Amino acid sequence: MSRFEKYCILAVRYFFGGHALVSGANHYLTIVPDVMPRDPEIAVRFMHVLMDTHLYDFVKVVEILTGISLLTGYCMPLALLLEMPNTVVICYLSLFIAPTARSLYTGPREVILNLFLLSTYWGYFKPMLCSWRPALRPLWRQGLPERGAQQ
Amino acid sequence: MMLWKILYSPYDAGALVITIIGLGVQVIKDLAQRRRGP
Repeated sequence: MSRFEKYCILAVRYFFGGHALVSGANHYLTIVPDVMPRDPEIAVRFMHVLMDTHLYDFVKVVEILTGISLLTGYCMPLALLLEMPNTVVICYLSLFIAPTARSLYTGPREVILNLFLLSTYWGYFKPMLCSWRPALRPLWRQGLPERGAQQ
Repeated sequence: MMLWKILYSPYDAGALVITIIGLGVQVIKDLAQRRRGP
């Protein structure tokens, strides 16, 4: 891998991780007011339901863990995978439910950065994503395939 | 001004600071490694 390639990936990793950590930590520390949609009403109601059910707290915990993982380099493929549902929801809200000039830029950016970072760990996901009809490999059999099973 | 409003948020600023510090630390580490030799 060239030095340029390495630093580009690192820059995206630190930016995405830093953003997740700052956004997640801010929810608990409230350094700046949380960014909430003010309209349309359905977006406001959606955010209220997330908060009233404490699902928003869970989302922010996932963001903090993703941030820590990306900044320290531990368990990055798993963290990126866990962050993906948050990213998709953020993008969907930003593009279709409560679009603003800024959200039209930040929503797709989140998905693009997350997918790009996932692609840098393609080797870890390839066996999972390229198995169209996978044989059973249960945990309780140490992940080994059954004898005679199709691979 | 409009472009600035679209591009700027406190979260992005924080992320950018973290990125610059992280890359700086990595460059220093790489330079030290190269000076020490393989």
